[in-house]
Amino acid sequence: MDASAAARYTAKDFKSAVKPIWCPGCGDYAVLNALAKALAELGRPPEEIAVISGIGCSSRIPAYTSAYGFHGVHGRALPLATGLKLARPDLTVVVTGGDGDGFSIGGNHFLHACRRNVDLTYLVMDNQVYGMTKGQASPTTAADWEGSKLTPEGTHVNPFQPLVIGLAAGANFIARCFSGDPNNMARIILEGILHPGFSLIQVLSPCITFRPEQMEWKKVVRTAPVDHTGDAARAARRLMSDDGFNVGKVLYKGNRPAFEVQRGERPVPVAQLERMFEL
Amino acid sequence: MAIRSVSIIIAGSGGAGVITAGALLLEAAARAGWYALMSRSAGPQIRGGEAAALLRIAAEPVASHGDAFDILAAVDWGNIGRFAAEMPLTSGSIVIGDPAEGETPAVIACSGARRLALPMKELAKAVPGGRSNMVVLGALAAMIGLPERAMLDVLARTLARKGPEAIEASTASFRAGMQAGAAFPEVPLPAAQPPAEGSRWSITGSEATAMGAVRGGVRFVAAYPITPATDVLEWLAAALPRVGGTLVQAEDELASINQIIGASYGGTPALTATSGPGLSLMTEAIGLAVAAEVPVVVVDVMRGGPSTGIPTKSEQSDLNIALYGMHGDAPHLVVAPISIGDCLFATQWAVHLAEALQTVAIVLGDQQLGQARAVIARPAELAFVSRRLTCETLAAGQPYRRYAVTGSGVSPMALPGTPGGQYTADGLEHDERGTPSSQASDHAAQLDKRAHKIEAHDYGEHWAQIEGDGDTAVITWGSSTGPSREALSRLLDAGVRARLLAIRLLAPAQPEKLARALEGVSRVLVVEQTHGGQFHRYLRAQYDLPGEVRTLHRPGPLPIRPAEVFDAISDWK
Amino acid sequence: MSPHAIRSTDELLAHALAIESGAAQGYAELADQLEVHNNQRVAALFRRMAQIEHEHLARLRALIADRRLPHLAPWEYRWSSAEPPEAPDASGVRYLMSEREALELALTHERRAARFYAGLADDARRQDVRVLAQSFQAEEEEHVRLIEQWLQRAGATGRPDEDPDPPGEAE
Repeated sequence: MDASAAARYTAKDFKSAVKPIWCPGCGDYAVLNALAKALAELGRPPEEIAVISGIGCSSRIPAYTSAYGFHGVHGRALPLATGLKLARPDLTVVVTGGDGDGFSIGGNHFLHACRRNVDLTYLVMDNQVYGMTKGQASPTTAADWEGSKLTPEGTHVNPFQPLVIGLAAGANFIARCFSGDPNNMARIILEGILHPGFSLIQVLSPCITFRPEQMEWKKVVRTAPVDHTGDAARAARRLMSDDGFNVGKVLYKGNRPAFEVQRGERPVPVAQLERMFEL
Repeated sequence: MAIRSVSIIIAGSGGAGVITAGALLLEAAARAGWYALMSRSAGPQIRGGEAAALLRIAAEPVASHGDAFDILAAVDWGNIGRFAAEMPLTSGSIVIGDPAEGETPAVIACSGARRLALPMKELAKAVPGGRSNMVVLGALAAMIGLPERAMLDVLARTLARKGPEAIEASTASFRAGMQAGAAFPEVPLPAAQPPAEGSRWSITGSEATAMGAVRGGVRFVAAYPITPATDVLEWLAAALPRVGGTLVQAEDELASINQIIGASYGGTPALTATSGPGLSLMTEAIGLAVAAEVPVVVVDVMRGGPSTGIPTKSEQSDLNIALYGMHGDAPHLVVAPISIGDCLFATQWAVHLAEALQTVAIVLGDQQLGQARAVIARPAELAFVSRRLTCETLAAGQPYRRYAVTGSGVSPMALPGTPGGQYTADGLEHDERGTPSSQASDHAAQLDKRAHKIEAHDYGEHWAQIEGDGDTAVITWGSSTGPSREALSRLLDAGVRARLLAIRLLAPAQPEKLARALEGVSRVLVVEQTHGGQFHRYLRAQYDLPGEVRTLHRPGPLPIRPAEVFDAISDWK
Repeated sequence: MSPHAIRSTDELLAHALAIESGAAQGYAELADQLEVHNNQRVAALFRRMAQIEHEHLARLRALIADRRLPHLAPWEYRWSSAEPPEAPDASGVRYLMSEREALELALTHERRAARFYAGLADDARRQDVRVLAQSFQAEEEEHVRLIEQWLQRAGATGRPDEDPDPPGEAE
């Protein structure tokens, strides 16, 4: 986009006046800022952006932006966004939510959204816990985490690996960020928006209240050692041996064309459809 | 006047092609000027199962099957016991079988019907590429007085793709059958007036539903297949792109309903179709659409329930979930077509209402209407198109209030792309601006708004079909309307006057209108195809019913017969 | 990225603008967060800092006047370390934090900004860039001193009162 367009908006233009209720120290504040910065650089007016979410702390984000938003039901942000984008391909549609909303109840839609490759950007704020409902294990929680009353002995279930699963299912852009580096996150979000097809961005976003130990993440994360690849097999190998803390880079950029609705030639009058019934 | 008609069953199995034969018979009769109705029954096998085509042909429109069938022609007897209960025969009926297929099974013979032998296999063999089902058609045509020309034209048209040999084979088989059938008793069709060109349609309930959706303005459909609703979706898959719309196959019903909500939020009238199990899955998101005031239409082609139930048979037992399936107080619309032709109007109207009132309309069709084909008068063009109240320009300096409490309860909806109209739609309770709120005043105000907009709307005369007079009234809905209407017509012939109230708008209830329609009524018969009397209980909850109330209710899979309604009233002392 | 890469006063001003507006916005957001969580004393403190930054920002804007500064995307700024000085570290706040802890957070931020300008001044090859950087450094160091004074008055850390209530459920 040209410099004049890019300079037209600031991040503030994309934040609403609503004050977030996230706990002070929550990583989602940085994600909101990064999203606002990315949208400012994108250069489209706020009314041409739609932010779609499910249920959870991170799903509150739409109301904190000045874009059009839909706070849907738990796990169904992706189909909501898919329907909107297919009906209104002119809009920029960003989907937001957490690891529970996205990979537990939303898991099926996640798989098919990756397959379908509609031009969406999916920002998952992963804190490996269900924060809103007081701290249960989520699909990305380690199998031996005993911090939940619901699974006091740990889940003993392998954690869900969203990036490698997303890759296998067909996602066209895969990245991992850390909330501690919002400027870089903004860059990657913008890249994801501009990249055609389904862009999957996992953000490690600590939960200060239910996973306070995640405040140590900033000492554990590292900049991903290699740049992105366009080779799915190579990306798969890297992701299979990835420990979940390689952040700050796009990991995979595919070249599948975005799913587009097949539109016929010029639309015919409705009455023409009725000919087949006539005797 | 009671309907004069001929009712025919063509049965067979293992690839006998009886459904094709039935369809050809319907089309030939239709093109020759008759009206007809055809439904199908089949075993669970995907192919090669036992099947039956059930037809009724008359000189006037027929909306349901009669009490019994005049002719049963069986290509073979494969597992016909499965359908025996659906093919009531009397001693006045005629059963035609192929002697090569053995004895008429007891379950058919016990009707006392007259049995005739038609050597179908033998006659078919004499023709290169000949088939028994075409021989049967010929015999039937001779018996009912269907002109040969009518069938030959249909064969030429239908088989054109397969080439002249196929046409010749079928034609020859048909003629052979006609020749043999000349010796059979006549069961003549009433004389038909050749109707005006283009004045009638041949259509199934599902096609009519889909057509009504398109006429109403639907341009986005998300689809997940489920028996018996898949037909609606497949028709739309072909039709929508031609009028600039889109159909997408979703991964499940949860995706379907949420996708159409998303599309509608973006401004495109949207619809999906499913059956009972799918509607159960969709109820959460339907509640979301009600709470966020996003218009959508959900068609439920009802089947036998509960749970997986009887997928290929009809019932009216999803009324409860359609009315009450959402948690919380979630007022919405429930509309039900009363005939195959009405599937078009009812769906079109539902789209119009959903858009105008920014709410959910559930259209309750059923398998009996959906999967039957009827010849109907061409539906009138009605100006019910979607007209959503949107706001293109916003008052400067005022923050936009998506959910403003207005006189009508309907607040203008800003579509994405409209500057200054940004809001976040939410299932959470909210204030007028859409900001989530747990305040009592906001909850009350929004609940009132969402209820008021639906209750205060003027639905006009379409809420019900009201016919007849007298102190007895039959109140019914959906596919129970056809047999009820026919029963009342027979009662009139017998000097008994009764009214018919076929309710099209099930929710919201219309107590004043019902009271007016029931003035002077002292006996009410409620007719429905449910085990638990769902409709009766709903009427009791919403309406005052005058005088004595009786119910005629039983579950599927067998259709309600006109005689049942007739007897219920004529036996009423 | 090395501060060597800042070669003109225009670029320096662009960075300064990012620091000041980032600080003003950042403190205002922290004030909002603590206000929503009913820690009014710390909210007031952050509000005061936001106010100071706003005044600073206004002076900076006056200084910039009609100059057309280069547009830099958020990731194009040449901060000298992994912890960019352009906003206070929001991950360090807690709803029960004390005024002392809030001041320490602000102090870290101001020191970081001062260090950034000091590094710029050291490495600047051009006189005008150096001079400007030094003046900004001086301003930041004034902020640092101000906060150090407040810290002295703020009293001992103490453990914040524990919240006896369990976490709630919003939805």
